[in-house]
This record gives sequence, structure tokens and C-alpha cells, in this order.
Amino acid sequence: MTSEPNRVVLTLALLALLIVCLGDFASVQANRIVPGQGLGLLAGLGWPWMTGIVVGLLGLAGLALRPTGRRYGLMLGLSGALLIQLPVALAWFIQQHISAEQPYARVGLAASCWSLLFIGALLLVELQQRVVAGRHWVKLILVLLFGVSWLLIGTGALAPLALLREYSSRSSTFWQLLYGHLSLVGGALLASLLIGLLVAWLILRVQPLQRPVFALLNFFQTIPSLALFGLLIAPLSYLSAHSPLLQQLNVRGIGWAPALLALIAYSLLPVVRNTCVALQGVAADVIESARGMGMSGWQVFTQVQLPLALPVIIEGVRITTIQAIGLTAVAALIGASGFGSFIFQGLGQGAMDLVLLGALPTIVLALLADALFSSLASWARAGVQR
Amino acid sequence: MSDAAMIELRNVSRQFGDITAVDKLSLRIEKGEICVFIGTSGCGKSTTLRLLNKLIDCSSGEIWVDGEDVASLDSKLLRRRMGYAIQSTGLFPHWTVERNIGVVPRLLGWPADRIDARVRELLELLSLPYATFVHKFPSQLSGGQAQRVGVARALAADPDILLMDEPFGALDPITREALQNELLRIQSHIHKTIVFVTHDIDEALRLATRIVVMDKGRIVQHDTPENLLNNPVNSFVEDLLGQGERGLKRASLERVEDFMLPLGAAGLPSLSIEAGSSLRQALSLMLWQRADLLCVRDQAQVPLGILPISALLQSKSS
Ligand SMILES: Nc1ncnc2c1ncn2[C@@H]1O[C@H](COP(=O)(O)OP(=O)(O)OP(=O)(O)O)[C@@H](O)[C@H]1O
Ligand SMILES: [Mg+2]
Repeated sequence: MTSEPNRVVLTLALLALLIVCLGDFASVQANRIVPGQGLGLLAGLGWPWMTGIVVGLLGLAGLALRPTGRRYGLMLGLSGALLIQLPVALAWFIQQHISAEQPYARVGLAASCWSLLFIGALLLVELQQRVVAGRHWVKLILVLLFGVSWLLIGTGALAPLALLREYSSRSSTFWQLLYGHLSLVGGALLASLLIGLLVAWLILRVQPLQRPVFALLNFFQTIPSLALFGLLIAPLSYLSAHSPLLQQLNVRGIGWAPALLALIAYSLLPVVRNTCVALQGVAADVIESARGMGMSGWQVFTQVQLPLALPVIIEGVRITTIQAIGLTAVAALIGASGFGSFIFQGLGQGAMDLVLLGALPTIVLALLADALFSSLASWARAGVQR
Repeated sequence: MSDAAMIELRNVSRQFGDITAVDKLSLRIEKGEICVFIGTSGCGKSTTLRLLNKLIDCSSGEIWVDGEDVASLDSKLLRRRMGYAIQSTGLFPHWTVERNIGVVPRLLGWPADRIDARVRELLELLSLPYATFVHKFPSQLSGGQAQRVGVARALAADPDILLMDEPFGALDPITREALQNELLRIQSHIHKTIVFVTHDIDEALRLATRIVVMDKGRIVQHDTPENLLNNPVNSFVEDLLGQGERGLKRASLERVEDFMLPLGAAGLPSLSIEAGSSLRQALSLMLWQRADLLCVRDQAQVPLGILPISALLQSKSS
């Protein structure tokens, strides 16, 4: 049996090979200020390690030419190995190039390290569907990857990594920002759910309201986020100046208040739109027979409409949450607490590692929210149609 | 109320904007009868049905159910007393067959074991094996199975009145006939008052105690199937009955045992037919076998009489 080559894996493997051979693996900086010196695979890790990586990638490409069920298993194994060896390679790199007498020296990740990480992740996504129980193997690989990284971080072997250096000098701020970020997103989510469900309920009852309400929500959505944050400063400052109560609550022109308001304004559209679409999408005959059975209006809503609409409503919440996580990062510009602080500080100081310290957790939060709500939605969908 | 009319409509009208869907309808439906509504699409059959369980309100007129004016009744409580089955079934897609059937009993607050027993009983009544179907979801049912479940759901709380809006529509003729037979069989046990809407004149003739022919929101004729066939009031009803087939339609309502002659001294004819068969079946058999004489037997094959072709032409013996 001849099989088509798997072009995705083939392309990814060759691309990684190209970047790995041409690009720097990591860079060494004597301290935070001086420019770093990039080192390729050979200079950074030595030829045995380099050979391992290159052979691994070549192997992947070779297997992808004539894939079979078994070879897909091998490919998944190779991709996992390429990923899991990364933290070890970094630790090895640090051992080779940083001595204990250099407390300020740091190691930054460079092109080939990043590309191995991302291409490895893409490979996992591609291969997960092609291998029996692929999802479980991918989970195992991720657990191993995090476990190995965690161990190496714990022993201090990775401490000179620039990202970790930035973190260790700011660890308490980091957790504060995480808390600030999560409470803004959570608050906005809660408020927009409450308001959004109410609005959806209202405009489903009073049809003529539908157009103007959607026009307004769409309008909010079109204002650039920075502009909306800015627009809210003046009125909130005014209100705060005239109300001691608001001052006590720390409501000012800048800070959490305008950020929260803007987040709610952005969140309403996906919540209201999905809720409306979902509730309207419940088949008319199902509702008719629910009423015909003698259910009260409330029972029809809670027992029939809501459960049937839930997957689509959750989808709206998912979009809202991911959007709010990103916007909260921007809201740092008007003084709201969140990972955006690191990003903008880092940009100001030209310290890319600090930018990463803000950006990476933001991305991770968004991915986690995506995974959480996707599985919630599929759980709700499973309840709807089996 | 004067007597046992289970449902009575008095001058009932319903407008939707400037469409008059139901126009000054007056009608009595007796306890235990199957009243079948038939008529062209859009003539107001479904609207009339929905008026009965107050899914929509009358624009004018009164509806009495079991001696009470429905306007004075709570619509939820009224609906729980009436089974309701519709063509598209309206089964709740997120609930199992069990939960779908149990919905009204649960609304009525029956204890769980009583609901469970009832679900078993109904699945058996509708020839759906309990173990196979009880945990299925509506999307896992065939059209005919779903409509059975819809009927079971309507019967669940043992209502006195069943409202059925084309419950067997969208089914192939064989499944449809099987369900019609089942309905008749069930009705012979449970004696509900059934209001049944259909597009299909054969279904109407076969099921109805009395048929209501509707056109443009009005009643054209309200009569037993026999009278409808024998004395259609106008050409609309004649067209509905299908001009060329009226004889056959009537024959399918008449039973062989009502037309047979006593056994004679002569030997038994070789061809036999069951006493409960319709004249139409007897005629078909004669035409097919080119025979002019049949032997009538009961279910145990005991000869009861003979049926010569000339007997088919007699008016019904009483
Ligand atoms: N909710 C409604 N709003 C507006 N018009 C309606 C509504 N329900 C029914 N009608 C109109 O009332 C008339 C009768 O409708 P109905 O559903 O009772 O017809 P039907 O006899 O059941 O037809 P079919 O055999 O096609 O089901 C139609 O003209 C229909 O358009
Ligand atoms: Mg109808």
C-alpha cells in the first residue's frame, strides 16, 4: 500500500531544519543592558546535540514521505522528544556558557529555539488526529515537557534565562498583576453576562428594540480600544471629583473603573448576539409542544430553551473572555492592573524579555480560557444532541 | 351544559390581522369519539386545535371543555389535562425518550416510580421495546418511532382528551397504516375523546367517528364517514372524497360480515376471506382471482357464511 506524503509534517520538519541550521539557538548577555551575542546550534550546544536535533528533524521528514499508522506513532514520538529536549538543551547551553561568577549574565531564547517550540506544537496538533488515542499521547508529552521544565527551574539550572531573571526580580508584582488581570476579566465577564442576558431577554420580547440595541453594541465594538479607554477618562474624573463615595471606591479617570466599563461595553455584543441567536434558534415546534404540555413560561425557558441554547451562549462567553483577556493587557495604558504593565514597561525600556514576561502569561491565560469554555460548550452540546 | 358533549365550540372565531383563520365555528364533540378535521391547507385546522388547549385565544366565541368554559380555566392546568401531539413531534431533543414521555406526569408531580411504570406501560402499548428505546434521544429515532413517542407523550398523564395535529403525517403509507391501526386498537381500550387533524381523506374515513370538513375557517360538513360518502353536501366535499373512488372508499368502511349470506347446503367455496375484512378487500380478492363467490370465515377459520358478488351490491343488512 502506497500512501500520500503528509505535506504538513514534511513542510514543518523541513522549515524547522532550515531555521535550526541558519538561526541562532540562544544568546548570551553579560547583563541586562549590553547587547547579547547569539550562538547557533553548533556553537551553543556542540555537535552531538546538534546532530541529534538534525537527525530527528530529518527522520520526521523521511517518515512523512510515506506515512502509515505506525509511522505516525513514530512521528508523534519524535515531535515529543524534540519538544521535551528543549528545556534540557537550554540547561546544557547555560552550563556551557554561563559561569556562576556572572550573577547578571542572562540567556535569551533566539530564533531556532522559538521555532522548535512553535513548530513542535504545530506538529502535535497535526499528529494528534492521526494517531490512535492521539489526544492522550499529546497530553502525556505536554505533561512531560512541563514537568521537565519545572524540575530544571526548581534546581536553578535555568535561572539565567532572561525571562526567569526578569521574573525573579519582579515576582511579587507578577502575582499582583495576575490577580489584577483576572479580577478585571472576571468582573467584566460577570457584569456583561448579567447585563447581556437581561438585554437579550428584553429585545427578544420587544422586537422593535432589536435594531437600535444591536446598532449601539456594534458601535462600541468599532471604537478602537485605546480610544474608548481615553474617552472614559474625562467623565469618570468629573464624577469622581464630585462624589466622595466614588473616591472611596477608588473610581477615578484612570485605573480599574474605565477599564472595567470599556471591557463590559466590548463584551456585551458577543454575549447578547449569541444569546439571541441561540434562543431564537430553538425550534418553534419544540417550544410549542413544551407549552402544549402545560409548562409555564419559566419552565419552558429553563427546561427547554436555555439548555438547548446553552452551547451557543457558552460560545459567546468564550469569545468574550478571550477578547477581555487581550483588552485588559491594553488597559494597562490607563493604569489598570494587568500583564499589560510588563509589556508597556518592557517596550519603554527596550527590554524584550520583560515584554515577554507580560505577553506570555496573557497568551497562556487566553489559551486556558479557550480550552475551558470549549470543553464546557462541548459538554453542553453533548447534553443537547447525542 | 345540556349533556355529555366533551368539547363544545360556540361561534368561535379567530383572526390573525386581517386573516380570519377560524370563522364562527360551532361544533360538539362527544365523549369517546374520534373527531377528525380535514380540509385544504390553511383552512384553520391547526388553529382550531390550538384554540382548544388555549395555545392561542379566541377572538370571539366560547369553548367549553367537560362542562367548563376554557376562558375561566388556567391554561397550564387545562393543557396538562389534554394530550397534544403534532406532526413534527416537537420532542425535546435534549431529553431521553423516558424523560420526554414523562414530562406531563412530572409537571403534575407524580412520584418517580409511578412515572417509570407509566413509561413502561406506554412504550409497550406503542410497540416500542422498553430496553431498546427508553434511553434513546430523539435524534436516534426513525420518523415513525419518533411519532410513536410523540403519541406516548400525549397519552402519558392519561388525559381524557387527545389533540393530534397530523400526528402520522410525513410517514410512508405502511408505517402510517400501522400507526392508524395502533391508534384504533388503543382507542378500543382507553376510550379517549380524540380530536385529530389530517390531510388524508383515507385516514379520516378510517379513523373517524365523525368528520369535520373545513374550508376557509368554516365547517362545510360535519358527519359520520358513511354519511359523508353517501351524501356529500357540495362539490367541495365530493372533490375531497375523490370522485372516481367513492365506491371503493365506502367499500373499505364496510365489513364483510355485514353483507354475507348464511351457509347453504352446497359445498364451501374454495376461496376464503375473514369476516372482519372490508368489502373492498373482498372485491379486490374477487377481481384478482376472477371468482364470484367467497367463503367467509372467522379468525379460527370456522366458516360463517358465503359472500357472492351480488351481495356486495345490496345495501347494508342491519
Ligand atoms: N400565528 C399565526 N400568525 C398569523 N397567521 C396565522 C398564524 N397561525 C395561523 N395563521 C394563518 O391562519 C390560517 C390557518 O392556519 P392553520 O395553521 O390553522 O391552517 P391548517 O388548516 O392547519 O393548514 P395546514 O393543513 O397547512 O397545516 C392560515 O392562513 C395561516 O396563515
Ligand atoms: Mg396545520
